[in-house]
Amino acid sequence: MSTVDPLEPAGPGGEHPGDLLSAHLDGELTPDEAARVEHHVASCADCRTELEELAGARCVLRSLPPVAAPTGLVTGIVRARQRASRRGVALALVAASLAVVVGLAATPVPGGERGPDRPEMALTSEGRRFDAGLGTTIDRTSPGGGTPAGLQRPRPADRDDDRESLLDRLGDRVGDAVSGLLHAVGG
Amino acid sequence: MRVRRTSLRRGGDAPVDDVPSWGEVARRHGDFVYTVAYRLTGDHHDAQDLVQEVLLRVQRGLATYRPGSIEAWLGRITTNAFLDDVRRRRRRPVVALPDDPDQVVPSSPSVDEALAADVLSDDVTGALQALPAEYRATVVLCDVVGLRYEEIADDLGVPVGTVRSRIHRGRALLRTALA
Repeated sequence: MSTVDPLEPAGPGGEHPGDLLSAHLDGELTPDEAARVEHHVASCADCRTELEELAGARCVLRSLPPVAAPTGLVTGIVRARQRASRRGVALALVAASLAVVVGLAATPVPGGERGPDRPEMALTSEGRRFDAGLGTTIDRTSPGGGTPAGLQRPRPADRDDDRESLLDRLGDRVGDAVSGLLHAVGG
Repeated sequence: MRVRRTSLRRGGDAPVDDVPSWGEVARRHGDFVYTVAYRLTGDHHDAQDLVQEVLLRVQRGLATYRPGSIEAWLGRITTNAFLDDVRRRRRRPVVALPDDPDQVVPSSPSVDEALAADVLSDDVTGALQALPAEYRATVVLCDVVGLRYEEIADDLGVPVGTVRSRIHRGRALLRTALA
């Protein structure tokens, strides 16, 4: 170690600058601190040597070349995460679809939302159908109302669009959509 | 501007006004993250694991990213993920001098230049690995990522004086190891 110049204290307590040397190289000192370090280094051979060696180490570190990531590492991670993310979306869709189906099953079929090619028809609270086209009410259970549903093909105007059929069609569509989505995700 | 050193930042890394998508960040800055990860771990296998962890953290934290130097942000995520891992395991010897030929990474300059750079790089990588993990993280944030002392102190949750001391001692140890 060099002798400390007692007349020109360069660092805290008049000691060698120590870690102020590195900070000086990094421009992290106040002008006053920097001036004191410079002043000390000018008269202290050991600190001068140390400063040069620190500068060399700093330069070596800063000259380290970039390292390319192995081919496919990043794209592999991105694709895996995106696949996982799509699966999450598909599962959410499945869950949402099930919720819709369950919700529909628990909801009475509304009366006024038939397609334009069908006569208005509703299921009355007594379990009978009101055919708006014919203006008549068909009792499903009375002998005069015809054969119980399912045993005969209904008239075109009386096409069976009860809840089960509606749910079947909806279920098929949801199933198709989900399986298509899962296929796309899996592919 | 938070980062004053740009040697690793390609294309100037202009301030970003909009939050980029995660996939974009990963693809555009994957090599940068890998470089920092490799400097911290000194091992390609560990670096790959670290990159994976970092990209997951980036995906979770992208909403919190504020326009600025994205590589400074990525550098501190990488360093913190590294230190978290070190603290979790605390079994990795700090004096592991890698002697693995696989660590020679092909680079684009001429073969001779590449070879010289890699030999030097390997020496420095080995010397870096000899540093205590906290010193290494501090030095990498300063000399590889290019952060100011105050930023490093914020990132690591230590006083600026500690940062200064770690950088100084880290460089001094490195100098001794390379002598």
